[in-house]
Amino acid sequence: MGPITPESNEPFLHHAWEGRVLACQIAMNAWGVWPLDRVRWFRERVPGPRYLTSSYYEIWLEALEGLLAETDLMEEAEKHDSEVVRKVPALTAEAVVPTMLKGCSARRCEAELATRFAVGDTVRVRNLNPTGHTRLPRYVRGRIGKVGAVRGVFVFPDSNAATGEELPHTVYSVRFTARSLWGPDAPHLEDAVNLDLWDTYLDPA
Amino acid sequence: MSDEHSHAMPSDAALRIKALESALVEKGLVDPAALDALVDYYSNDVGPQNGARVVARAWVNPEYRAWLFEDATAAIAELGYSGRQGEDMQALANTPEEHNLVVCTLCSCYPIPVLGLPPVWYKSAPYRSRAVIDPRGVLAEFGLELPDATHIRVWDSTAELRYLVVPMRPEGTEGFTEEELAALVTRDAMIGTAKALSPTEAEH
Repeated sequence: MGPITPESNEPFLHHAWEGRVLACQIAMNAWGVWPLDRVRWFRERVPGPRYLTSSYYEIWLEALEGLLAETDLMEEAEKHDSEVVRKVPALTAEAVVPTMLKGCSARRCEAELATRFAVGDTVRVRNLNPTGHTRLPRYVRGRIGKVGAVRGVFVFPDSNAATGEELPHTVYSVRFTARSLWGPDAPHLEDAVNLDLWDTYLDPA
Repeated sequence: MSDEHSHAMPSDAALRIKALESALVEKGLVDPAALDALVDYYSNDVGPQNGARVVARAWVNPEYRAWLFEDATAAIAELGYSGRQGEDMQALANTPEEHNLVVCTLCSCYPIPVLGLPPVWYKSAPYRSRAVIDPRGVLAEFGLELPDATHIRVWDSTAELRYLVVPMRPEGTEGFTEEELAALVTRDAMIGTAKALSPTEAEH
């Protein structure tokens, strides 16, 4: 993919329009019509060649346009008298900082689930190749790793992005050595990559 | 500078978001004052200065350090930093034996409350693809070379856990105040592509 070319002292936003894209996306997220997982899915669906040659916020913009086209938010908004009807107003300026500081945790503490794996267990990543959104990178599929931590129960992005079903379950931090990932000829075989992986991505090994 | 530059056309994206924002405002779906407040928040309220204060406190205060590694979300919130893209934090300790490097191969996940918006390089294909397969090559591009005896631990932010690297405290900083120490902690050091600055480096 070429060199990294970091820019020194780069600003958070390079153009004013990028800030407007960022702000419109976050403000529209506040309606709760789509989860973040679905937003990511729309970004991922920008076709490869355009994805790789677009700037970051160009991808955001295309995804936002797609989300709006898919939902009927714009049409619904037109039906109502804008002065009168909205029971829940759009995100206000006063609400911005508290909303950003609160965030939107994906942790689901109320889901009590038995964990299949414990710290120190050896696991093999399932060879899953979903056509929809997933947080299981291709480079780790089929690989063997070791559970380093049990992170807790979190919303499952694969289902949440597709249908809005949260199906929360346990996430583990799993460590994969360079040897396991890249083979016996990899330099620095004992370097490692840690991933946070859902229980349904894993089998015992 | 030629006058032509002052008449440059706005980009396609700039025109599209202008039209989209107008439509959203007109339909009451976004409040334009809220949009301005969001841009202001992400331009000014969050940034690496936040994470640097967390690191500096961990360097001087052993109890805080222990808390940070046990419950990073709570320890970071104690200093006033929390929320979107930092709801579940993990702190990673650099030691002579282990050097940590954070990436999101799948998109751009980044601990925004403590570091602000991520730099372009972090979100781009070269870093996202090479950090997991060639971390030492990546660090070399940033001018950082580690001895073979130091193992690299790359953390791919695949779930909603967000990672903050706590670099090692530089030599020659005995007696520094937290503020002086925070000035040594760069954004790159908290991602893992650099070490914290030495007092000499900070002067230049």
